[in-house]
Amino acid sequence: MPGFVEIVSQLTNGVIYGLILALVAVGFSLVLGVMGIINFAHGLLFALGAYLAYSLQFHVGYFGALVIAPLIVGMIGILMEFVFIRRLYGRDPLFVLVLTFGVAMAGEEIIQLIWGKLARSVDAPAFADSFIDFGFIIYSEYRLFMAAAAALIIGATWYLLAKSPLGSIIRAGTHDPEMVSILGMNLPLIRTGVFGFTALLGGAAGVVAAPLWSVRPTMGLDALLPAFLIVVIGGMGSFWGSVLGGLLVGVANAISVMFFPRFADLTMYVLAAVVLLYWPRGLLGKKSVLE
Amino acid sequence: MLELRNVNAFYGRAQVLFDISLNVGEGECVALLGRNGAGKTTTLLSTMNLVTHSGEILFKGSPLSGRQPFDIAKVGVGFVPDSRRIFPTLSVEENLNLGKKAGHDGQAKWSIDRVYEVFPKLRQIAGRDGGNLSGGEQQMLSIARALMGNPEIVMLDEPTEGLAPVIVEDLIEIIATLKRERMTVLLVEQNVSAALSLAERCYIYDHGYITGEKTSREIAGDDSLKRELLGV
Ligand SMILES: Nc1ncnc2c1ncn2[C@@H]1O[C@H](COP(=O)(O)OP(=O)(O)O)[C@@H](O)[C@H]1O
Ligand SMILES: [Mg+2]
Repeated sequence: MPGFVEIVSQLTNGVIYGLILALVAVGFSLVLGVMGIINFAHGLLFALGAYLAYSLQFHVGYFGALVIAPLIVGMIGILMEFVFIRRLYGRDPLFVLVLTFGVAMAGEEIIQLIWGKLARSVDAPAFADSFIDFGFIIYSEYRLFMAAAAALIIGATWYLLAKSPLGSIIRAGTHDPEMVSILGMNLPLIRTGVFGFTALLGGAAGVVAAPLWSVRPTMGLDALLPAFLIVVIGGMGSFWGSVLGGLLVGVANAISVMFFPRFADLTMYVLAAVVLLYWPRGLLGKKSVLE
Repeated sequence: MLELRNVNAFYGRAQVLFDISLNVGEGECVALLGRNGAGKTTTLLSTMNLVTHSGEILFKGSPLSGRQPFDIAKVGVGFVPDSRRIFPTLSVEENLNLGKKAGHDGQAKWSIDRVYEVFPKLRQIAGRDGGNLSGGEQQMLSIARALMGNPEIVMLDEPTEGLAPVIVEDLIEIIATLKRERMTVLLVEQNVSAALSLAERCYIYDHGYITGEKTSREIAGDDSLKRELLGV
């Protein structure tokens, strides 16, 4: 049996893991909502964020990377939408799935060419390189910092979506993109912008995850599959559903690591299956994934 | 202001409009009449370039074909679709603001305050979610949202469909107000008496063809035509 300290520490790790996955899931879900695209290349953007953090840390430090890497990934996203993704709008979902999966694979190869096959490590930001003593538990500062950073990005994204005029365009586009264009808004431009924004979010998640995860070529898919399940668990098109789903997967994963370590990798699939049995539209969703 | 010349439209391989020609002059209110499935909605959708079509569609003399829907809206064509298409997760006011844009020459006659003057009901429910509106409220909002874009012509697809008689009266009054302000209106209506009271001229649709063009007065005096249009 794990002791109290280990339980608290594992649960906190679960929450952090969940927040990072939620960031990936929110972007994935936005693209699905606004563009109707199941973008399996979304994990690639996450991986790029982490690798850029690795390379940039030597020049601008971790904090510099936290600002610059997401912007670069955002621009890569815009480029990706422009040359590739926009050809997929309105196409057969299976076709889209196969093609974006292809891009994810190709991207992984490119990452290997640039950064090699071996895992890279990103140092925790220097200021947070120590431990906090809570009396009953000693916890590494950078993990708490990562949790705060992820929560802050999630909060800012929510504010943008729920309260800004840009957010109302995105919410409207999620429901009825054609009507948005009937009202005179440049739909192609909005889509490019939304895609760039989700790339930025994915990239930011990658930077936040970089000091915690091993930075390796497959990390894109390592994040994407849970993110996809999280969207299913939380409910399509529901922002807080993705956050809730992320936290559930993170915490469930932490619990299974402690008690059934051999089955830890299965946990999220079991969780998704159970949720779907009782909430076919996900916990907070209004539509099922392919409705 | 708006002119269609020999327009054919298709859903996949099925042709549903045949050689449609019509025009709407500046400040005029023109109605499209005809039974369900005759092709009235498809005519409006073709104008917005939302269905495949051939032939010429001209707005103030310049062709609309090949332009994107948002571009067509920008040059001054407002479209209120039959299903109203309110954004359910946006408040009434957010729905209105989403439609906001200056007219083609930068003028903005319709502001949110002006819209609330014409649609006082919408001011009262400004904070309510679009998904929480009655049919009449949705229709008012859909028209008001189109006006926020300061269009030079509005195309209304069956604005009175499925609404209670009192609300139909309100809507007719609102469209009459638009006419008084010299708004150009292209109106699709199954409610023949409403259409005749608003439009000066009507085109009669049958199975994808225009079979006649008449003044409202001519139709009002022709009982057998009226009965045929009512589908009885
Ligand atoms: N999305 C669609 N796909 C295939 N056929 C359609 C579609 N929409 C309408 N139609 C057909 O096109 C014809 C004209 O429809 P429509 O323009 O909606 O008529 P109206 O507005 O006069 O009732 C009808 O026969 C209808 O069945
Ligand atoms: Mg119709």
